[in-house]
Amino acid sequence: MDAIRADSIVKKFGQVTALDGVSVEVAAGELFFLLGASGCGKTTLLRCIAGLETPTSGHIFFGDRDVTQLPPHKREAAMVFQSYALWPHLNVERNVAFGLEERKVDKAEIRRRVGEALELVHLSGMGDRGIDQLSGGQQQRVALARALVVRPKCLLLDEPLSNLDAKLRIEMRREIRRIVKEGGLTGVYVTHDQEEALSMADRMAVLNKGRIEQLGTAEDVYRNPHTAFVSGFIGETNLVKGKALEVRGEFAMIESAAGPLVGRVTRPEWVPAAGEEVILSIRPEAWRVDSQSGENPITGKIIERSYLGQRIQYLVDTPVGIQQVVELNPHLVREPGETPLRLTARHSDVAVLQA
Amino acid sequence: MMRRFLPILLLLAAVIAAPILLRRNSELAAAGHAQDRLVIITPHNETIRSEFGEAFAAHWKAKTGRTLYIDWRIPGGTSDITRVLNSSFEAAEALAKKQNPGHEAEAVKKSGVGMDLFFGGGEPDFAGQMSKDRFVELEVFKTHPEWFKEDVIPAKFTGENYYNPKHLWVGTCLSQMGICYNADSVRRLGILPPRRWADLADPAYAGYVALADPTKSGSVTRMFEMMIQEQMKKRIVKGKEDDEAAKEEGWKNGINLLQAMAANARYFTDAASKIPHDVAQGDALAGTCIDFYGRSYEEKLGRRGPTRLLWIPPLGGTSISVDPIAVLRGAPHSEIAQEFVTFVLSDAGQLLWNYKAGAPGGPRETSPRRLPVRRDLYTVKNLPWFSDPDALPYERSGGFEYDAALTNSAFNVLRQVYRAMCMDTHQEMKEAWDLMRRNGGTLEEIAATPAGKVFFDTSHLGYSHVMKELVPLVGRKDNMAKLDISREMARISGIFRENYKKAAAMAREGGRP
Amino acid sequence: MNRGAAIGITAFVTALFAAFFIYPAISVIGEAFKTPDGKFTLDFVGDVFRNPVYREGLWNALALGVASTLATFAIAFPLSLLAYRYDFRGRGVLGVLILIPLVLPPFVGAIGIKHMLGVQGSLNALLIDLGAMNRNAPVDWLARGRFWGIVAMNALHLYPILYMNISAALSNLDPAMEQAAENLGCSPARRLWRITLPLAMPGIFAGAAIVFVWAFTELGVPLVFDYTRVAPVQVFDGIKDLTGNPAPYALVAIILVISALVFAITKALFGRQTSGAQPRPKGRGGEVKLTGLRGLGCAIIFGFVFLLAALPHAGVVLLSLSEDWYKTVTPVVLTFRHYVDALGSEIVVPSIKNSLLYASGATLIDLILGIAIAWVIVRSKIKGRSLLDALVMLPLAVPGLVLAFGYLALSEPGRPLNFLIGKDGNPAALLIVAYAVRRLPYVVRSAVAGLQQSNPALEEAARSLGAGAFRTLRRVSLPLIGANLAAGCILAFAFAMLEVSDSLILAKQTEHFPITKAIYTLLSSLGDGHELAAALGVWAMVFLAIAITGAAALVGKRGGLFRV
Repeated sequence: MDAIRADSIVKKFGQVTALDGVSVEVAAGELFFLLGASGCGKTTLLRCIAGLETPTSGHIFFGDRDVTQLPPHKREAAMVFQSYALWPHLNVERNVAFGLEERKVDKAEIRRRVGEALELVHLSGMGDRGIDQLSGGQQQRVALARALVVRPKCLLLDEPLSNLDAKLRIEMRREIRRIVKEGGLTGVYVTHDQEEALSMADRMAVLNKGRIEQLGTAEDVYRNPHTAFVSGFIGETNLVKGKALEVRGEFAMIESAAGPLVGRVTRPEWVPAAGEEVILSIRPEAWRVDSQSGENPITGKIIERSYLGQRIQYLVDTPVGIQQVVELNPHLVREPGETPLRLTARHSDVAVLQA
Repeated sequence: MMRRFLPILLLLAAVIAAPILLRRNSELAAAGHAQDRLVIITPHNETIRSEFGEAFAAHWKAKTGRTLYIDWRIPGGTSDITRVLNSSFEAAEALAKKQNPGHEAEAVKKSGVGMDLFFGGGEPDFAGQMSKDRFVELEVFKTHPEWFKEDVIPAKFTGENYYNPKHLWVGTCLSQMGICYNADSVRRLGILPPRRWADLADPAYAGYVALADPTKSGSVTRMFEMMIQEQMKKRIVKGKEDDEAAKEEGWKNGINLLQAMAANARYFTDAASKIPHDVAQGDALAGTCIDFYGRSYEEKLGRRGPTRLLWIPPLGGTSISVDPIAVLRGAPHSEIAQEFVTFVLSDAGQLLWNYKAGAPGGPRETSPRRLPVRRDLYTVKNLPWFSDPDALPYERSGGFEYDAALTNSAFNVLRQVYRAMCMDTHQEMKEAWDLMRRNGGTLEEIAATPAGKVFFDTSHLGYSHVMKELVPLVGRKDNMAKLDISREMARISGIFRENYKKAAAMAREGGRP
Repeated sequence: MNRGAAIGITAFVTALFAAFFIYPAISVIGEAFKTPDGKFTLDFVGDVFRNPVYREGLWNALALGVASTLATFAIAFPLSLLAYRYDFRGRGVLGVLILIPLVLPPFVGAIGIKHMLGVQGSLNALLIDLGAMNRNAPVDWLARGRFWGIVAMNALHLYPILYMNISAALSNLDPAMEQAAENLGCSPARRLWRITLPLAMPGIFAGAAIVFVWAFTELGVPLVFDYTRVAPVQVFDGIKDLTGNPAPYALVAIILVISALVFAITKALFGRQTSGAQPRPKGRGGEVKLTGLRGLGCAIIFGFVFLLAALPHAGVVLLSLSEDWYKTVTPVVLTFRHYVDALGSEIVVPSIKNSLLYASGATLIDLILGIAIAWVIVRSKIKGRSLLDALVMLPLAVPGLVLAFGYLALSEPGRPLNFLIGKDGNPAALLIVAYAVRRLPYVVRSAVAGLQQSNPALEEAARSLGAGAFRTLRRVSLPLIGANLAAGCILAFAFAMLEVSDSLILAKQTEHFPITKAIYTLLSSLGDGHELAAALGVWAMVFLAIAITGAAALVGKRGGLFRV
């Protein structure tokens, strides 16, 4: 298994810049996610790693080797396509065996490994089926098996689960992670589904308009978003405008429409200047409802509520705007009304971001 | 999107505009607007159609004050015309019978095919149609009896008929088969230019003779028939016309000559203009060529210097035949049709055939280069205006007389046998010939070799066998005729094929002649 | 597809074919199976097989068919692959130029090539000038190596058919198919063999079927080489023969049977539906932009093929401008007067009008019928659909002259097809029908290939959203197979404009002549006949070239076919 490094990748398609100087390092054996909205460049980056696109500038390294000019069929970076790209004129077994045939593995060995791969994805015995006889989930698994069977240096996955139903998706998430980890594979996974990323990734990069906004573990990215975009993209959040008053170490006091609020500066190497416009990111679950004491108190009125059993969601109208608030295991269902509601949030739960 | 197509549309418009702008005026009224119409089916070329069309339309206008449109039907060569006429008449006769139950014979006699005239071709083709009662009597015989004297239009010349005794058709112009050759190529190869038919059988010409296809044209079959007659006449001594042995020998020589010529042939074509064109281009050395094509190529190539294509009538070997015209049964415009026939035989029409372009009373653009059938027009006054004043067919016939009694009945047989002997088996024939002649030698020398003897063995096709057995066979009309004839021809073809293969094998082993 | 509709269409088309193809064909070919007292016999057919000359003719024809198809493939496939995979400078223009063979006018094309390759022709003149050939011993190219010469000429004439069908097939391919193979370690060469070729099979088969039957029954090219030991020439010769020999008709029947058999076998082997379950390919085509030498190399390859294929055209153009072209590379004296004379001839303008009418009418009929037939063949499940497929292809195998004479006889007054002859003997309807019947295979093959490659789910989606059969057709299916249809229609139109046999025999009156008969007419003019015919031929070439370019531009953007 190789580590993968992408160094200052720029990719232009005519006038359009898909990647604007992107650098990532994926450690050997790591399951790394590229997360972002459509058009952010994540698939382009993946295809650059695969060799299906050539970067306009920049380099790709597998381990120590610069593979930027290496054609795709020599890179040993097996890819699972979003559309699966299974060949209709070959049956399941021939599809899976394809890569091994190219590597001139002998017939008996091929048969054995194909059997193993099919077993791994729970499709044993389906070798002689035609592709058009498979369901979506089965096709996805064949695509996975086809990529795994060749024991690639790295596994590249391009939104492999986006065509599956929710239940299957969740099951496949576990399967894929298990398979990748058990095999000790280095994996790069592209998705727009942040839940997928959060649940499966060792580390992830959040891309926006061809650039990496933030790179880190799930926890990092969730709890310490560097930008308003990242905080908004991952999970839900409330964004509150304010002006920086004072900075003390990790924390800053921000003047807001509801009075001074204190939050944590998450972005490294940035210190808000006094008077600078900032944005506070407060997650719905960060707001405590109706607690007597607490930091960052504000008051508001409930204008809407959704009772979801496990949790309850409120929309609360406050001086700093309508806040989404989530309470787990609610013992009390509060109705919308005129009754003022006191909300508090811990300093460390509030992120101070650049505006 | 339109912006992209604009240049294309403009281009298309420009391209379509060109012919519209260049369109020439014509005496002939456009199809729908003419007051009168005449429908003529013809193998004649565009030049003849164009010149005679214009001239007759002017004549008709002058005579009646009415505009005329001539509807030329040109399905192709004479074999295509025969097919079209047969198909059309058969359908018309069937329809006539159906529509007139009880009076079938009468109705058939009156049935027509919407066409007025059959103009041009050969006498054999006309004989065929005539035998099916498809022509009506020509009035010109009654209105101008003075034209049908020996010194104007003779009944026969060089053994060929110039008009039908029952007045069903009349010859309009003369033509003669001859040899065209490429003087440049002949010189390059260091051989003598051809003078007689037999010269085309000279092995030096191998692969470079362009031959006309007798199976598609009666005139061409006639030409081959004449070659055989020339050989037969050489053997038949005057006074001993009953000498069967002489006839057999002459016949064999004739058939062998056809074989040798065919062995030299590059192809057999039914497109008359292909032969002089290929000869002029050097793709063939020499070929059988009809006179007017030969002469017009001579003129065309002679514009800038000595012409490289020359046409000659072969010494002693060809008759002069006519291109006939007839009015078809059931012609919808029979009055105009009869007038056309009269026009073509009149002074104006006759001189149109050969006068130079632009001459007074001559063609407007191009001279058809055909020779008038009326002898009396080859006068000192007219000849200077002729395109071919030296042709003088009536003086320079070469003395050849076509002798119908000798081989005429074998006409159809000859055509089929030629196919069996020379065309279907051409591949084997050429192979043997190439092997036999690779050591050089004249035709006689090659024929004398063992291989040559096998090649030229025609013992199964002797004169009396042909006349006594094959002619009746081919003439049969009974049910089994088609099958039997085709089987017999296949058998004959098979014999020749075997002979040629044997000759090839022998030539391969053997050495010199 | 609705079973009832499928059966209805099949019945309708079969009836049409029975009336306008089978009936005329049989009325002529039937001669070979009848004794004069009307009984059925196989004697004539047996005689053909017993005769070694005809046996060899059939064998040679088959050999030419197979060899020509392979040679055509060898030209067409690399070209379409290059155009599909790579973007190089001039690809658009060159992609249209190499379709040039389509627009070679009849009669003069053969003359043109002989001026180039004849004994005293252009090529030899060039070689003599360069000192590579002895002036006194010029090589007779057309007399040597005739078989392979014919194969080469066939290939150079027919490759546009295969090229267009393969290009359409490739443009319908999901690029991910190739990329997945690449990703799994497949080198470009192996990828071609394992993935691209199998998936492009529908298009390849569509074109190859037509090419084979065409080459198998080709008449004109063997005649250029005076190669007569081949079945189509024997048929032509025999039909025009005045002796009433039944052998050629038996030969035609045999040719038909062989063509049908070959078609059926190859369809079973190669023409199967392979894709169709895949979603439509996404945008990025994986095209590689070639620059510098490599781009130039591609352009040179295209250019080279174009130059070779355009030899006959060059011959025709030069001939039309020449006074006397003999022993020189190009004519010594150039003149435009033939154009003035030819284009000014009174038969030309009406003939242009007629050709456009006949060809457009036929193409329109073929488009409508072709789509319906392809639908039945690909999307329905009724049993007779393979037979329908073979039936539609048959007209390609029947020599034009045979069908023409059949139409002639049957359209005489009192005969069944006479209703097609209009007022004053106007044969427009008859000619449109005749043209349509013989061009239908092009549209059907292309449409079938297109439908085989497109995903029925896309149509099902439309149906589920409430679109009826026609609207689905119009809004979903047709756009999807647009490239294929365009390919088929372009071929059909071009060939209809250049059609020979029906035009010669059935257009009796001058005012109804199509362009090909006008060319034939001019050819017989005394003196400059060949040059005049060449001038009109060049006009026809230019016109068709512009029309085809326009059609390519129209289709290109949407269909991805020509990438203009």
